[in-house]
Amino acid sequence: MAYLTSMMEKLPTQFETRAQLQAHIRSLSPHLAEETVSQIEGGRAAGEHRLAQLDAQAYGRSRNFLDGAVSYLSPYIRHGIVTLNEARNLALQQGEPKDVEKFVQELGWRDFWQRVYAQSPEKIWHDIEPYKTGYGADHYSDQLPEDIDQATTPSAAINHFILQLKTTGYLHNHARMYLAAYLVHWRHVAWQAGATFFLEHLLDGDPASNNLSFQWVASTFANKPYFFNLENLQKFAGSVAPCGAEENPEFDASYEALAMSLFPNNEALHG
Amino acid sequence: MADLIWMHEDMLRASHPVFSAINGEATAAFIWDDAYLDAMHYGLKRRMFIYETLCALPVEIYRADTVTGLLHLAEAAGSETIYSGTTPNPALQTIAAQLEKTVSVQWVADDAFVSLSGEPDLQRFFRYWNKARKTAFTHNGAG
Repeated sequence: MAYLTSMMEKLPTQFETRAQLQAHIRSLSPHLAEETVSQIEGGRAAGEHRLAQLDAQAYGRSRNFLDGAVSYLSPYIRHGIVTLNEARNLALQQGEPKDVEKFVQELGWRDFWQRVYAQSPEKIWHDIEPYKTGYGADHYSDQLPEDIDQATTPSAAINHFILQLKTTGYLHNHARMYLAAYLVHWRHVAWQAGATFFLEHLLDGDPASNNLSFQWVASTFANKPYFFNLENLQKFAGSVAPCGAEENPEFDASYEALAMSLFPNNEALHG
Repeated sequence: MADLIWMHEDMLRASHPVFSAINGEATAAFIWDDAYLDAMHYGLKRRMFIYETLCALPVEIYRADTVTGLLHLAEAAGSETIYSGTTPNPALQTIAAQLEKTVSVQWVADDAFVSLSGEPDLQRFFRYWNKARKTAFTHNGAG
């Protein structure tokens, strides 16, 4: 018993300030001590605050825009602090099912990913299907490029998303799709390396939702790869991220031209 | 003798059904397992979020290897069963399998989102959703 006791340390749960808590966490994880801490607070009270701000109808109208009425509930749902059930029940109080359908369906995505995870946990880190990009899995690099980690890529919008991810621990879903597609299809990074990068920084990062979404973008869990062009970026992200053509030259093309450039070996994608 | 509740990262709220599954006295513990957190690729931001959440819960936090820590707590409390919340995470299930060499592990499911008859086709989201939507728009997902 004495041996076991020596291997256990009871940790404090009372802190006068958040700064003191931060210092404690840094002392527990000295190898991560240089990282930024998010301003997004943990705890049920913070989760309830987000629930109180939910506007499920506005979510349905504007969720695809980076300045849209998204719920910011995901870190709380991820860790069971708030349940899908209570978020859905609240949404149903805000309108008819058709008015809150998009929000409830998004909760359904979370439930779906968790079911896939429970049924087939081996799928989380392995290609569920082959890539449909015209490249084999061995084409993609296991290493995250330095300019991704440093947010110094040729794209100002991508750099903006990387910095937001690393400082806040949160990214709008559409920004995640842009960044994931950029990593896999423009930079030829294996989705696993991108997924690991996201898990390191996202407060809501979940092996199921995160990795299977990455596989959806990569096309190993979808019928075709997800990619975007500058027009799409400007429409949905233009109000919050630097989306000028001159600062995002890699995306300034039609979908047809991008498909031929990104996936030269797969004519089925060339439209 | 008090029952032991193993709080893990997928069930961080005081209203989780595991608390009402216990008859009588119980101690809830979260094991701050550096090796587990590293294996999950969690950075400082996530660790802060989880710890901050734990500070507002009726939970004791111990820094230890999860299996070693939980077995020690179970032995100290005279618990033959460890209760915890159902999780799809295979790393947590592996820990439970190791615990079960010594104690029993009782999983308690969280509140369901939908009621489904049988296993849905999970090959694509909309095959799942076409069945799930029948109860997704009802209070508590009741069928």
